[in-house]
Amino acid sequence: MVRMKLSLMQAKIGEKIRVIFWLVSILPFLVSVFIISKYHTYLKIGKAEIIFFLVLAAVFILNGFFILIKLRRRILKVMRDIIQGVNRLGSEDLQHEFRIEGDDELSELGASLNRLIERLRQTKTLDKSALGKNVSRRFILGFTQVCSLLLGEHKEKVVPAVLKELMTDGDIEIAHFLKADKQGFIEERSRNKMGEVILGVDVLPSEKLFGYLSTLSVPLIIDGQRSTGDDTVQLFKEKFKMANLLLQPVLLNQETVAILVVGNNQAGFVWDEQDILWLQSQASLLAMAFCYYNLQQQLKKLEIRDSATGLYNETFILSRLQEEIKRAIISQRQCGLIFLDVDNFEKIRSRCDSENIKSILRKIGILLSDSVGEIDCVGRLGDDEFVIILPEKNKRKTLDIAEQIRKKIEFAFSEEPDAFLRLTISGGISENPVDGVTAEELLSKAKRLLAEAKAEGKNKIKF
Amino acid sequence: MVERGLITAEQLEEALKKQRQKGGLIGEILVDMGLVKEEDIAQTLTAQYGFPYLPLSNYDIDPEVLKVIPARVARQYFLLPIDKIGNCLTVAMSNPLNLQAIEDVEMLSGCMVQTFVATSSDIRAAIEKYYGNKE
Repeated sequence: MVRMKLSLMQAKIGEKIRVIFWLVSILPFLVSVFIISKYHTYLKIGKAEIIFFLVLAAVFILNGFFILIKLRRRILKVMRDIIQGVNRLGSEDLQHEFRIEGDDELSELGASLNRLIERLRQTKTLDKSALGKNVSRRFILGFTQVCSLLLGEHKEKVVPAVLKELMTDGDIEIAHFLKADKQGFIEERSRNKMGEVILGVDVLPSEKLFGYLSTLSVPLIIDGQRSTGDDTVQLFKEKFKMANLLLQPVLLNQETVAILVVGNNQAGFVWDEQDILWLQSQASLLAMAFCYYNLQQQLKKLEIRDSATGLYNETFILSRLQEEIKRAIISQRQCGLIFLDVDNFEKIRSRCDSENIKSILRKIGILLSDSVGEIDCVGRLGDDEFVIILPEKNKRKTLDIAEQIRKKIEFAFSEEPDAFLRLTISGGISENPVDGVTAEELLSKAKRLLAEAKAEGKNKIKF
Repeated sequence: MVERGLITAEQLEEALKKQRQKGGLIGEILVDMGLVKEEDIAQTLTAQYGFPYLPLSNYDIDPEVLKVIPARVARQYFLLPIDKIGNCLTVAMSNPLNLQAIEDVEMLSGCMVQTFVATSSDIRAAIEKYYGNKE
């Protein structure tokens, strides 16, 4: 409490200035008066000198006092004005103007704020005039939503989010998302005002509408004014059981990957430009979502490392195992395999948070990597399953390495204060050619031996 | 082989270069390049390391002995069990320097292994003859 009061860090600017004034003028004056009155006989100071000193000090103090008043007026008042102005800006009042005179930093700050208000005013005017139904705002909101869903890898939530967004328009009674695949345009999701529904509105290749949808590159507008007499239009109306329809293709690399359909049954209804623009914007979002998802899938295929441990991932390690076996066959050599699993991992997981688990797995990963040579390969298959490929090592050498690893891990975790964290591992080992000539054969043998090691009391390597 | 005048140092260098590029055994590469015959390789191993040479074409193998080593192991290591007397298994190999392979055979058979050197083509032919399509 005392520290809080003494500290100037917490004080307001006015208090700080006041304290500075006290420290540089009044306080030195009082100290000087005290010293002179107490020790003037020792210091041999006459009355004339004392009077001169007092006058001089009074002049300094007065000067300091005037500076204090000036500073308070210049800084504190202006700061108060700025705070009030910014608060008004926060409540979307764009009429305020900062009037700060002078040519110092404060007047520059005022001018910058005035420029900012002017730009905000222009943006708001544009937004209102160009897109009356706040299409741009909706688009940005939708875009942000889709991006956040994608970044969170919730791909399956993107389409429902778009359909939900479409339903916020009062004119839309139903929205469909038909995904293109080999079997036709299949209804993946549909939604009405009540929530998600399945209406069985698939468009199969045998139907006349299929060919029409496959080549659709611009929105198809069906309402009281447009596209009324056409046979195809009648078929669409019957298919979706709606009098007014808007069909928008979702195009990716000039290929129709899906169709967005919205509709209503209002008599004499006409779709306006903003409805069409909005549906197009939602289709663009979906196209972006597909594009991003495809890229993510491709990236995943290219990834070779496990994100938690930095070891090789399952896809890479399995293909590497097959390659090493081929190499062993060509060079008439051998290839060893160790399959390891943490003992009682479920118990550990139930007692630790995810960060602790990650840290344990990372530690194991480092211990494994440090235990093998440069041409050997360590990977993580599942939660607590690890695989080590040992090219040019037969079963005996593989067993030696596996035993060293088992002991190393037992030792590394033996100092843990909690008993359940003093973890151990079990493993099974196999070898090409003795146990098989394919990755599956070696893995299956090693897994079987691992299960035996677990059954025989864990913290054990079986070969 | 260079000392015995079968190949020159340059030819050996060229073969080693091929081995670095494509892998495989140096003896087989020399044979593929047409620089030496398989028998030269076998005889060199005999002369240099003292492995006895066994021409497999003149030899009949007891099918019971073949059961000691699976076909896939015989195919990959280019070896063939010839005879088993007590705890001693006689094996013909194209590369008797492959000590890890010998260890594997010892582990599989539970026997001490005595190695003979044979040519790759003799072993290939014998594997085909005795193991056929077995795995």
